[in-house]
Amino acid sequence: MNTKLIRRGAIAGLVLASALTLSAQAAFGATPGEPVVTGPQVVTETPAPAPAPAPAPEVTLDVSEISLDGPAIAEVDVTVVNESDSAMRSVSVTFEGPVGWQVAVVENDLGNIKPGTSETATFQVRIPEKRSGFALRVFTAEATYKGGDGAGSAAATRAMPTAAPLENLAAAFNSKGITSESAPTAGDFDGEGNTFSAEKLAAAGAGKGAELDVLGATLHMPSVEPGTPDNVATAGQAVRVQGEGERLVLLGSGSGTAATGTVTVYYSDGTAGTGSVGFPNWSFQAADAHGAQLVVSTDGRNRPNGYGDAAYQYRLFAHSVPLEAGKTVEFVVLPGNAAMHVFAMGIAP
Amino acid sequence: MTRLFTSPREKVGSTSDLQSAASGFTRRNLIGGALAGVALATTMTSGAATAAAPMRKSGSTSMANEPFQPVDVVKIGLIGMGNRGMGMLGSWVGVPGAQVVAVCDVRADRATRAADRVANAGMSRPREYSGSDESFQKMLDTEELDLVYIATPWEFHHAQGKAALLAGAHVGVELPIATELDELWDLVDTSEQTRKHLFLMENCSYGRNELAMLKMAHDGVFGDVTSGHGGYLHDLRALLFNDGYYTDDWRRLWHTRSTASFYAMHGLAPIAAAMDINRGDRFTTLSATATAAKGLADYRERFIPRDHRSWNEEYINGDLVTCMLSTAKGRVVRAEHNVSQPRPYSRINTIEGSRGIFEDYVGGDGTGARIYSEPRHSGDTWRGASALRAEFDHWLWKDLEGPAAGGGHGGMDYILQWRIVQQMRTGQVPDIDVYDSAAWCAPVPLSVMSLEKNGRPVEVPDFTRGEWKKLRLGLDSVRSTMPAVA
Repeated sequence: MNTKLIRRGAIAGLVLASALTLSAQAAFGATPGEPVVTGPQVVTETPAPAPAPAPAPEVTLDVSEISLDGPAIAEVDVTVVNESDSAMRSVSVTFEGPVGWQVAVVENDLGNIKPGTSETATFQVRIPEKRSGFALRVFTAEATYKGGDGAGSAAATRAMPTAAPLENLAAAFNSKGITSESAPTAGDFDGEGNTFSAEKLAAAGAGKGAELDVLGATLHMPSVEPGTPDNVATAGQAVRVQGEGERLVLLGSGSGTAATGTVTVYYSDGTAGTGSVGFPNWSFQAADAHGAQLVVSTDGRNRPNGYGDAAYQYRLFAHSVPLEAGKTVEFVVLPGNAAMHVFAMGIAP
Repeated sequence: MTRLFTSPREKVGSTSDLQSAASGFTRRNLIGGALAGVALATTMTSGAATAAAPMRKSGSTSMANEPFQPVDVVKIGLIGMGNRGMGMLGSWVGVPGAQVVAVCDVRADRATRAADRVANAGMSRPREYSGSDESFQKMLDTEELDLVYIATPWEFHHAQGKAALLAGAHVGVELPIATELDELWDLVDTSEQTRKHLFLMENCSYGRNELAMLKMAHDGVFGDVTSGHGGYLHDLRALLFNDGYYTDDWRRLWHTRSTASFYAMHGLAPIAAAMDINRGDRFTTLSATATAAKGLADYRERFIPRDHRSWNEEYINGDLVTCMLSTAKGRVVRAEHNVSQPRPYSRINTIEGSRGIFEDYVGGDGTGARIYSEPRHSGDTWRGASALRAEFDHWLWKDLEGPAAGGGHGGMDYILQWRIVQQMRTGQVPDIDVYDSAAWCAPVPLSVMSLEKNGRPVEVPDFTRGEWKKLRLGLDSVRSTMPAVA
C-alpha cells in the first residue's frame, strides 16, 4: 500500500478507508475535495458542486510502508516517478518524520530520471517504542528537480494512526476540574490546585450529569463524583463521536488565556475536516474570547485551602466546529493544548 | 603536542621516567591499587592528539552494530579490587550466566578477599593474581576470559584495556576508558583489529530517569532536541582527603597535575544518547572553561592536619570545569565537572527541545525531576516527571526493578551488569560500544587542549570514521530476556 501523490500546489490528501479500521495500512487518495495533508494537519477542501478534473500529476512520489513497531531503525524508500515527457535532472529528495524523530539519509541524490522511469531514494528513521493511545504519525517527502513536468518539486505524505480512538470522552478524562467544597484539594484545574466548586455548579444548573442545551446540542456534565477525573486537558486525544449534524459542540474552559487549538473531525467515508476552537480563561478573560459562548457562570472557586474568591466568576463555555452535511462523524481528534479543558462534547443536529 | 598532564610539580619515580614523560606524565604501577612512587613511561604518541581521524588499520572494519558472539556462560576476569571493583563484585556473582573466574589486584589481600567473597556466595573460587605490576598480564595470558572488567585508577585504564582486547576478551572499563586522544584512538583501533568490544562501564546511562528521558526524546516529547546539560557535581572532598579510600591518593593527585574535566561522563553520556551521538549525530567541537582551583585547598586548610602529606600538593584542576560541545546537527551540550566544592549531588541531566524540557535533580516529585512538554502541559508550570517517567519507563527497569533494588547506585550498577551479560549471552549488539566510549571520554583531553587555548573550541574527533551518520539503536533497545542457566 502506498501513499498518495502530490504535485506541489495540487490537491491530494488523506483518505482513511474506514475510521473503524484505522491501521498502518490506511489508504490515501488524490481526489480533489478530499482532505489535504499539510504537515500534521488534515484539511478538507470545501466541496465544489462540480469539481473540474485535476490534471494528472506527471511527477509523483511514493513513500514506502513504515512499521511503527519500535524501537527500531526503519528504512524508508521514496520513489520518484517521472511520468512526464521530459527527463528530470538534479533530482534530490528530502524526508521528515514526526517532530523529534531522527532521520538519516542513506541515498537522496537521484541525479537524472528518464521519462517513464523512476528512481528511489532511501532514508533511515528511528521508530520509538509503540505507545498506547492514538497518535497520527505523519511522514513527508519532497523532491526538487529540474526538467520533467517543469513544476520543480513534488511531495508526498504518509500519515499513519497508531491506535483506535477512545470510545468516548470520559475515557479520555485526565484532569480533575471539579471538587466538593468539603474536599477542595482533590483536584487541580489550573496547575495551582484550584478547581470549580461542585456545589456552585449544581446551583447554576450544571451539577453532576446535568443536561445542558448548548449551541443546539444536548450535552451532559460529567457523571462522575467531585474530585475524580472529569475533563480532558487536550493533548491530541482521539475520541469516538458518532452521528450527523450541523456542528460539533464542545463544553469547556481554559486554564490559560491561550486555550485554543484545532479539532479534526474524521468521517465514516474516510474524509476529514478541521475547525479552530478556543475557550476563554475560566475567570479573567472576556467571555467571548476566541469566539466562545458563555454557558455556566459560578461565584468563587475551590482553592487548596478551601472555597474562596467568591467575588469572581468561574465559567464554562461552548465552542463548535461546523460539520459537513450528509457525512457521519466517526471520531474526533482534540487539540494539543493542555490549557484547553473539555468537559463534554456532542453533535448539534 | 598537548598533553593531559600540565603540572611541572608532578612527582616522578626516576630520571628516565621524567625524560620519557615529555609533558610531565608519570604512569604509575599498572595494577589496580596503585603503588605510589612506581612510575612507568608513557606509551602515548604525539601524532594522534589531533581531531583528524587516523587511517583505519589495514584489515580492520567498524565495530558499529557488531554483535557479540554468544556464549552460554560469561567468564569474567576482574582487574582492580578496590572500592569500585569490590562494589561491583556482588552483581558479577549474582547475574545469571556470569562466572567470575579470576580476580587481580596488586595487593594480594584484596584479591584474596574478592575470591573469598565469590566462594562464599557458593560459586567456584576464582583464581587470584597479585603481587606484581604484571599480574594483570599474567591473568590475561593464563585465563580464557570472555569479559575483563577494569576498575583501577584512571591512569591504568588504557594499557589494561588494550591488553585485555589483545588477549581476546571483551572489556568493560570504568570511567574514563583513557585520558589521552591517542589512547582513545588506540582503543578504537585495537577493538576493530581484535573484533572485541571495549566499552565504558557507564552505569548512569542505565539510570531510570536517564533511560526514560532517552525514550521521551526519541518519541518527540521534547520536539526537536536542541540542547542538553549534564555533568558530575559531587562533593568528593572528604573522600579525596580520606586516607585509604582512593589508594595512594590517586584521585586527589590528579588534581595536582591536570586541568581536565576528568569525569563528566556520568552526565554527558545520557545526554549524548538522547541526541543519538554516533547514531545520527556527533560531537564536532568542544570549548572549555575552568574556575580557579579553590575548593580542595580550602578544605585542607580547614580540616586536614598540617603534617598530612597533602600539604605538599598544589591543586591546579579548576573547581568547576565546563565543556561546551557542539554537534553536527547544531545541538549544544554543556558538560560540567565539580568534585571539590560543597554542594549536593547532581548529574544535572537536562534536555530541551522545540516542544519541551526535562530537568533532573530539581526535586520535581519522587523522581527528583520535573518536566514541561507541549501539548501535554500549559501555563508555563513545571510538572513532576513521575507520570511521564512511568509512561516511558525503559523495559530494563520494568523487568529488573526487583533484582536491582538494593544494588549499587540505586540499581544502575546491577542493570548495567545484567545487560552486559545478557547481551553477551544472547549475541546482541552492545548498547555502548568503543565509539560511544571514546566520544564520551574525549572531553578529558580536549578540555585540557581548549583551556590551553584560553577556551577556544577544539575539534572533537569522529571516532566512528563516518559511521555516525547511520542510525543505530543503542540504549533505547528492544525488550529481550536473559537465557536460563543450564
